[in-house]
Amino acid sequence: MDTKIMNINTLPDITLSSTPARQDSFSQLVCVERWNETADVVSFRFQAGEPMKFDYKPGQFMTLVLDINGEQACRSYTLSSTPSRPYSLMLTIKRVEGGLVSNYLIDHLQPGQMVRVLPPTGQFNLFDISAQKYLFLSAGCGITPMYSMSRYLTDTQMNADIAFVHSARTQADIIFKTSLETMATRHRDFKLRYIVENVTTDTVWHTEETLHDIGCLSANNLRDLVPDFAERTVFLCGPEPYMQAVKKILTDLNFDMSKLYHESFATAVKEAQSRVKQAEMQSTNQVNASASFMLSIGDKKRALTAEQTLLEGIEAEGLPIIAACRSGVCGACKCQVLEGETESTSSMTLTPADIEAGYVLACSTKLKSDVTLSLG
Amino acid sequence: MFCIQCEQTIRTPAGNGCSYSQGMCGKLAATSDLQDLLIYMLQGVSVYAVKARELGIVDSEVDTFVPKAFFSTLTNVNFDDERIIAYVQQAATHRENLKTAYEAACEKRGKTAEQMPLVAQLVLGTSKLEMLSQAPIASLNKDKNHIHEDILGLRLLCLYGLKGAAAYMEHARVLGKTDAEIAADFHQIMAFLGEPSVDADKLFSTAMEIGQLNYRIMALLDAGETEAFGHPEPTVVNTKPVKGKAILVSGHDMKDLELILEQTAGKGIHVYTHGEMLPALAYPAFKKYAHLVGNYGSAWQNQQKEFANFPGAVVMTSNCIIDPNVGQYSDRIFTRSIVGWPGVTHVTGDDFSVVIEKALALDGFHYDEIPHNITIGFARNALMAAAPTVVENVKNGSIKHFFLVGGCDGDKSERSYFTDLAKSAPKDSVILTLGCGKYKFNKLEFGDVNGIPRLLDIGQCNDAYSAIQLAIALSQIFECDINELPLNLVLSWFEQKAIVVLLTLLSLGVKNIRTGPTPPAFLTANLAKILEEKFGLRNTTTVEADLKTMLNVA
Repeated sequence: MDTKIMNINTLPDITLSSTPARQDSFSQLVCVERWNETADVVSFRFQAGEPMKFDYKPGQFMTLVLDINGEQACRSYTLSSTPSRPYSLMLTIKRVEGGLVSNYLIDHLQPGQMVRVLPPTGQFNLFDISAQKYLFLSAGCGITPMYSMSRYLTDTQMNADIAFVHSARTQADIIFKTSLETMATRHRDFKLRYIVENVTTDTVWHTEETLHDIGCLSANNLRDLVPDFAERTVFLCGPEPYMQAVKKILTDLNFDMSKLYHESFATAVKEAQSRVKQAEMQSTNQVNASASFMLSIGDKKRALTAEQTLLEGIEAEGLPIIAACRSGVCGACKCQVLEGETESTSSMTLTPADIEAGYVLACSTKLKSDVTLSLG
Repeated sequence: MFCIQCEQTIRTPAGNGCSYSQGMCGKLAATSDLQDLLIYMLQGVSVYAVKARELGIVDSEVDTFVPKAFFSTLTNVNFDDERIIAYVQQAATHRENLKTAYEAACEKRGKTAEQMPLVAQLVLGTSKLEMLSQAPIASLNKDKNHIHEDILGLRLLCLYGLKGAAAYMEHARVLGKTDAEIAADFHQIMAFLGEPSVDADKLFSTAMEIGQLNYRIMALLDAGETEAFGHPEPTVVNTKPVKGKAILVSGHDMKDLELILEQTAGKGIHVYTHGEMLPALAYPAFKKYAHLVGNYGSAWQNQQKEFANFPGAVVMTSNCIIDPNVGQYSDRIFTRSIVGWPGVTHVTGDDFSVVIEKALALDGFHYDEIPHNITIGFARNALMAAAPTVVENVKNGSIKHFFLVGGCDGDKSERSYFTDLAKSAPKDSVILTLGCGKYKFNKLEFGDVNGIPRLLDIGQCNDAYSAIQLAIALSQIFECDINELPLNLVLSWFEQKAIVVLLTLLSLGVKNIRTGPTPPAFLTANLAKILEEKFGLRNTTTVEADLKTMLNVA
């Protein structure tokens, strides 16, 4: 896959003042508003305790750290707000069957309540990917980064050239429909198209006929809808099957894949799930018998196999660590190897100085010898 | 110092027990030595209390003072040398007063006063230095080179058990409940332990007597609590903060909670329970206070982080306190009753103005958090009310097992055993819990069996009394012995209250109890073996193995 990975050396930081000495490292945000975007999608707007500007890049995600039924749960969500309107942050969340955190937020988070978050981060963003002309391809809830980017571009540039093709199940499932259509009306070079799988008869279809197609995105309709797609830089986000299908379409159309950028977060979540499953299976099967290396953290020691990650060892010892994406994307589980040899599959959010100092991402690092680790 | 009373005590191949300059709890060697001296002096008081009683002299002040002062030596209660010294001096005064009264009574009856044992004869030094120089005579292991280690283990089992019982006596006294017979039996055992015995059988039977005594004390405490505050009823409790000024009340003494609630009414302060105070929220008497908004935090060992994050005043009504300087909140934590920490404001009397002023001066919580509700309040009455439904579900096979999982919490990682056990318990089982050990799993979702919640929170550790009542009731309904019920007890222990609850259960003939995560360091391998042979008492192993055995046996 020819997807470029940008290196971000500085992460935007949210700091809040005036709260009493708190020892945890999270920032607090207050939910100030919530509303339904569609039947199963809710947007939440957050502010700091006192008016402050949030600094992040359009397309980045933020990690919520929650306590659900007595257990800590961390999930990352792309910010659907834009830093060009900097006094609040917005998350847009879809109810998913069996989705612990998303459904918890939709069922419980109300205006006036506080949540703990880690600062926004992520490389799939407008500032770190340079482009002249944009092609936003999204499906379902994958619209959130595109919406953030679209708002930023239309807020800050009069002539940003954007083609936006969004796929949804039905007309009623199109998130941000009204705002997007307003943007498309006001900006000459903002071309908005929807592709819906099913047209339901009971939904009043307010969008102009010309704005939508029925079916799925294909090479044919992409060529028809966006004739100059080859000149554009593609930003892609959506469910995994959709992303795979689009990549195939673009390949078939001989698109220059070096100009394709996708949000790897969806993949990260999927990998995270399989990794959590693996870890669970390992713990039930008591695989520890084949342990070969010793992980030492303070006065805690745990034997790990060469196949287990540092994160598994840290969590098994019950030590405090935040592992939001569990796939080497979010950078939350950064920790320092004081002694010993390790092998990492990701160092995405680490700076060269971090790496020099021995920092690794616990979720993506395995032991190659006995290791002494610092979580500080 | 030599202290081996709690779970976190130092264990080395060379020997167990904290015996260096500081205990694992943070108690300095001098404090520990002064506490030994205090216990020694209290045993001397009890010697005279027993003898005076034989002549009809009962000093109710002494009867309440001895258990109360003894309580101050319990784990994580009082770290303040000056306060311990004051107790030592009061003990000396009480002893001398009793001695005078006893000798006068003897003279009046033309009887020669008895020669008292050494423990009742110490002439107390006048300075702290002199007292510390006297401490070796009171050291708990002073004759360890001359006795079998099992004898020391049994003595400690008795002493620590009695200390737990003393704590419950003090809790009952605060609620206006004292009992002259209980006090007499308490002094008897206290005096016996003051003359170091080498009789294993006698020590063992004393341990059982302590268990029996504590059963009566728990009944007294139960009466004190229910008469003062009503019978706990199932109650939904929020465990997350709400916006506003805040006071956190920890420990066991609900009387203090009541005073604080009365004095904060209408002041714009929210009151939260912490740790073992959580069950208070289920008592009818507290439901009229709308500003009692819920429970904050978890068990005692997390207080250095949780109190640091609490933007209000904190009151420790009884155990367990740990170093407040770590989280930099020593200026906003207050101690009560037997609790003490050097430099921390100690509130005496019934006036909590200083606490209220502090809470008003602090920020409080700026926001609500997403509420998280749990249900508590399944003490004696609620359990008995549910008994017919429970019995029906047992008879129709919907409920196949009961687990009682509770006791003290602690910070050892092995304690995840209790979380895993609760999570792994089969869906046709009901889990009863009590003590702060519940915080290992009380915020998890367990669902219900035909409307009966699978997790039933009985209350504080002393509410083991309620659990025993339920077990007795069920055994009567099913016409079987308690040990034949499909009930498994898995107790987590940390300090001396858990020890005495265990002694109570053993003395009642409850068998096959599991304890964990590690056996008390003062119990030798021999003693553990004897307890296993006699009572089937055993240590926890792995959740998988234990569950397999428990479910098969049951």
